[in-house]
Amino acid sequence: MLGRRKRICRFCENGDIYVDFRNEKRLVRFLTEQGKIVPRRTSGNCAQHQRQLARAIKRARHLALIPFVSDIPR
Amino acid sequence: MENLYSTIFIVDISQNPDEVDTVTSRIQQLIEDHGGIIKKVDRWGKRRLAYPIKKKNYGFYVEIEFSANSHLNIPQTLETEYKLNDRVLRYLTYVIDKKELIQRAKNAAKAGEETKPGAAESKPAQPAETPESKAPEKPVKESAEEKKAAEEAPAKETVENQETTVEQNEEKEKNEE
Repeated sequence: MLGRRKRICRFCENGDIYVDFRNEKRLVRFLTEQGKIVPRRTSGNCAQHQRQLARAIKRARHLALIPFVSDIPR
Repeated sequence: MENLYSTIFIVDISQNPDEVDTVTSRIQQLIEDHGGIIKKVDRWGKRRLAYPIKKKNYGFYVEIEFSANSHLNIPQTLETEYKLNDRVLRYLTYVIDKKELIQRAKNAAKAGEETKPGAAESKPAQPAETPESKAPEKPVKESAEEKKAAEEAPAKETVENQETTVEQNEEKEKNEE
């Protein structure tokens, strides 16, 4: 709708130019409950940062810092 | 071309905690033998893995930063070593981007200024890796680094984070204990 809140890229807001995969607490905010990467249309990230973020998430997953999948809590 | 590399590996310490030193020195040896220059060795310490690897739930993370010429093919030599070494659960070697270095300098500078309560929240974990390398050039930041270190130590497991993934991990951990 028209009255929708304007989304701003959180990394741009912060002035960051690189998304580090070591900071898993930060990456977790851009994951769904299942561990999927949140799309740009939802997170509001700019294209550049979304690409960096995706790479960071993939690296972090590989190093077991964040899960590939996490199930619905039991 | 001279590149700056970072290699991170997870050592299995379920059998013998001393393995960390053996593996780390072996990797360092390899890098130096092949003509790389080690910039820094960072031991992240024992951490819980987000998912089990080879049925292990914990691992010891070590990060080594080194510079080398790209035609030396050090990442490849490291990979063969990692593959052969069954104490290494996981590894990642990559070329450090210019942007990453700039970001690290920025983070260090920000933390050096003054830690605002609002800004501090997103930072602690990120710049924690840099202190050792940055310390000799810019001694001004020393006090801030100590603060960071203090902040980082207790924050291993996220408490404030409402994301379910983290909560689940914590739950699992409790159950196991």
